[in-house]
Amino acid sequence: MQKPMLPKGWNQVTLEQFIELRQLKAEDGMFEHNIDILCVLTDAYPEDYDDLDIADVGEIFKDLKWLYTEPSKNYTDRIGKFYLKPMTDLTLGEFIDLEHYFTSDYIHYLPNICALLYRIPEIVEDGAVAKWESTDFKTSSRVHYFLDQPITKMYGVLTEYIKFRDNFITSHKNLMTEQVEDDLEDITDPEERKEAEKEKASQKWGWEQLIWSVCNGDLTKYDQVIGMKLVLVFNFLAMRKELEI
Amino acid sequence: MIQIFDQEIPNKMDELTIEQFEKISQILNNQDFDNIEKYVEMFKYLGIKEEMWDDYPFSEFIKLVQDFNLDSYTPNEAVTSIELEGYTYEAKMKLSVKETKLIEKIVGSKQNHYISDIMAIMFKRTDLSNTEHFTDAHLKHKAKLFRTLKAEVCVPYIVFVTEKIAEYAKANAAEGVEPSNA
Repeated sequence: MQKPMLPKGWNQVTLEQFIELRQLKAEDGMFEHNIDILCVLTDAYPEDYDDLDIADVGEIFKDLKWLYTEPSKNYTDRIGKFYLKPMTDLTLGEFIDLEHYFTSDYIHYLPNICALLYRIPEIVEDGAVAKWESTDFKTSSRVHYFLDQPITKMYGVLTEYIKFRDNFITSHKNLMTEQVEDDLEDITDPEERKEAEKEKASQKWGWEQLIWSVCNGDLTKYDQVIGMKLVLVFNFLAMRKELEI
Repeated sequence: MIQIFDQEIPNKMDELTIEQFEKISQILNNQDFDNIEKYVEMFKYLGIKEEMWDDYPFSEFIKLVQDFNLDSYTPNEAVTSIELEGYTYEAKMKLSVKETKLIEKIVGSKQNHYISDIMAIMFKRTDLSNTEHFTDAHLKHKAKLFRTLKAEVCVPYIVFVTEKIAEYAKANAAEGVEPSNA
């Protein structure tokens, strides 16, 4: 078998390959795991490598040491027709979706995260976005575009978003509910348990409650509310809380 | 062979079968036994009843254990061709990806017959293709046949496989993901 063509660094690895690599498990042993890595990087089947000598695999992996480093945290502001939306411009709805992606399985949802953070502008003036797209779109309809892009184009955006999120949550700590432990069985005091159950239910419907509160119970305003800037919504909520209105 | 009571007990690699060698390794590696129990159990497997030790002096028992372990074995040149049940089996001192993956699975699952299983992977029946060679049923059948061979046959292969895999693991061990500098 000829030596396969391998990427020489993260800049030659696509987002799709990156996700596949991160999702590989070494449960069946290190060697099998390494062959799976080769398959992802060369778009081959495990059987394609069956006859290769173990020593040759060792040689191949000598050139893949970069795999054990994190991709660069730099990122580009523009990927094709998509522009990176400033995090401070995120809407409440976008933030809720991003929260879902990050707390569920952010590696799996990386392309969806990109599809939310990189957007098509409606008006660009002097290279800067003057108005963002206003029409609704499904993130799933855009993920394929990002899957084909090198991971180095957008990996840094993740850490950037996490930083933004942490800062945002810290500065609006008083508006966030505290995490209730999952196993309520451990709470023996009936009063405490009742309180925890209430908290848990409130957590489950956290975003809906927030939207309900901002809509003043008028659900016809739902779309308007989730389209509002996140920072604006939370600033108003903070004001209402402080002034008790 | 060493003499225990009135019995000849095999203790050398050219006296023990692969099956006996596997069983002995299994007993001696069993963490449920203490050091004495391990050897009582091993001798029991080789034919010495447990009650025979009841009145046996402890110091003599230790001496027997030492004699049993005294075999200063030097591995011979690897046997690369074996005739069994009318078929020829051949092996090469080479490890392919397929073979390594199978061996890794065997070692990882801590099977009792891992030596004969590894031998079954290394030795290929000359009249069969690679596809047939790696089928589960054929590998199982072959492992059973190889268990009857003397343990000395397996030593060069076990040494080779262990060395190759250890070499590979040492050269390619992932030391965790390093953060990027950028």
